[in-house]
Amino acid sequence: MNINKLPVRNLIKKPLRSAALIFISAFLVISMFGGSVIVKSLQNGMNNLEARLGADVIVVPNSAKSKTDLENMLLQGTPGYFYMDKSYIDKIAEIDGVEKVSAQYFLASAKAGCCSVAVQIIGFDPENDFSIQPWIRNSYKEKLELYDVVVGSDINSIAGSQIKLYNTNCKVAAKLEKTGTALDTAIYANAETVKELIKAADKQGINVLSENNPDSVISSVYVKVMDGYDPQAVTDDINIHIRKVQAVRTKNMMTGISDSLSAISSAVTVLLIVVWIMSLIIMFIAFSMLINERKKEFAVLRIIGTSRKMLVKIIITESLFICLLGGITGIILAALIVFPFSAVIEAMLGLPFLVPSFGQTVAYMTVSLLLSIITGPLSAAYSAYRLSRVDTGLIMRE
Amino acid sequence: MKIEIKNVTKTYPRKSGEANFFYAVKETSFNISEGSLSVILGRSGSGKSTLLNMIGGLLKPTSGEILYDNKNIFDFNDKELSVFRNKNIGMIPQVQSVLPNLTVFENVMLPYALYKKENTVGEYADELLKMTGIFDLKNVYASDLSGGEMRRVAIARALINKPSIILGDEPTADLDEENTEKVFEIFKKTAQQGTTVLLVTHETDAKKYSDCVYKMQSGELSKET
Repeated sequence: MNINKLPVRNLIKKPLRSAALIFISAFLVISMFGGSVIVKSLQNGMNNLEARLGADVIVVPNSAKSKTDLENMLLQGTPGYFYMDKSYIDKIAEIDGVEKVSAQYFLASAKAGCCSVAVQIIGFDPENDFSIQPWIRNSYKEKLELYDVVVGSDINSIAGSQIKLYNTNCKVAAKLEKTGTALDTAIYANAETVKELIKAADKQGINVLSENNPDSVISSVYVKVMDGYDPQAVTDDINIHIRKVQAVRTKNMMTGISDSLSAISSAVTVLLIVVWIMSLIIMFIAFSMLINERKKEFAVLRIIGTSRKMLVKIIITESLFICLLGGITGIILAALIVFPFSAVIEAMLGLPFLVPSFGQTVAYMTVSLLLSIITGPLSAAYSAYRLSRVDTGLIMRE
Repeated sequence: MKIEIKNVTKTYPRKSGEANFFYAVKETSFNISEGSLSVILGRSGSGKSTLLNMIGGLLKPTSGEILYDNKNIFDFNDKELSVFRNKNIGMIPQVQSVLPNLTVFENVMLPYALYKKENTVGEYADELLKMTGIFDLKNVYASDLSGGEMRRVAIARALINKPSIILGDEPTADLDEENTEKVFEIFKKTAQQGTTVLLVTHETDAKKYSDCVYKMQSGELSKET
């Protein structure tokens, strides 16, 4: 017989009582860990998208219905295309405060051989691109040749394989890492490849350009603003001085999503605090009732020579085990919900979603587990202390 | 060990009524000599258990002192008093006092296991279980025992640390005649071996095993001649 085994024996011999308390503790951790991972995933998705766009201002033709189409393409992954004359690149570059400009070419595949749904094809100019190439280089360091494409992580192709776009065979040079954004469902190629694909689409009777020549059009211009210049002022300048285009600040484009994210984060944070306080109250009541119900049992321990400190230790250890088991159960359950169903959660929220790194996940696990472990002893401490102060003789007399 | 109860009283506050407190134990003084078996007889509510709990250090007297070898146990701090109780006092409470989640053997061993890590009294525990007639129940969980069996577990547990004093509060409640006799025999034998035994009981038969008989009435203790 070892006195240290007593708390474990008490838990094992009362499985229903223990299970109920473990469930409360697990619920706390599911909320804490699951909620934190979801909020962090949304923040990661947002940060990643902002980093990947890499531009201060995006200029699109008025026909793109200002920022709405662009937002849909970049945030929701709805494939689309719009074009304007190539000469706009030089006009935009001449605006005061513009440091770099880079053109992009959009094309939506009707139904690619690789994909069951339409995908967005994004072309860039390797000579002056500062938006797409930096992160393509993380996965593929070679120069992209004609008909070479790099696919987003959600495209069902592997590096080295071939995919057919508008009946044109393209080589998948690399597959990008997951970003948690709509960019994961896009295909990237250099401008020449996209122009050839536009021509191929035209041959198939899909006329995306009307009367324009693919060599004389672009879809958008990404603008990098010089240090010391206000991006909003540069955006306004473009809108004032250049006709038939719409300049959009990327930050403003993100405002809607940022607001949604901030609202979700605040709601989840409030919810987590409420859940924690509720758990603390429920655990406090549960332990008070439990200790009250078992006070004769604890009085026996005092009779045989258990000190107040030892008695409190036994009660606290019991609550610690309950919360530790509940915490571990909660983490496993939350992980089984959040990670395998992240795509479903992303679709439900309609926001960029990138699950945290292993390190971040472990940190959230640890904090949630610690919070759970603290909750038990904190809830039990007062009742245990109160019990230990009562004369054992009075308890036996009741 | 010499035990001296000196001017001890215990009062409890009243929730209503003329007086704001009442005496559970009126001023009481007596000595218990080493190796004796003393019995306190009295009706329910006469203050016997209160007095016994004070002697066992479980209830602080309102006034007076409980001296063990001239040391007032209520001058000890909680840890000192707990260790003292564990080593020197074997107590059998009036209510059922087994831990339901432990086996009979584990319950008996519990006072020993509190402060000692090595098990050197396993055989002695078996001996006590045989003596109290519950050896066959050694590995049965206490929650599955009858009232009488639980009482005998409490008796064996009180003896495991070979204490200097045994305090029994109705130790034969729930026992049949045969087992009651057996238990009193155990106490008699224990006292003869040098342990001081003080029992609180309704059983007038206890008188025939005792060296000294006290009577408690309305909180007042008197020695029977």
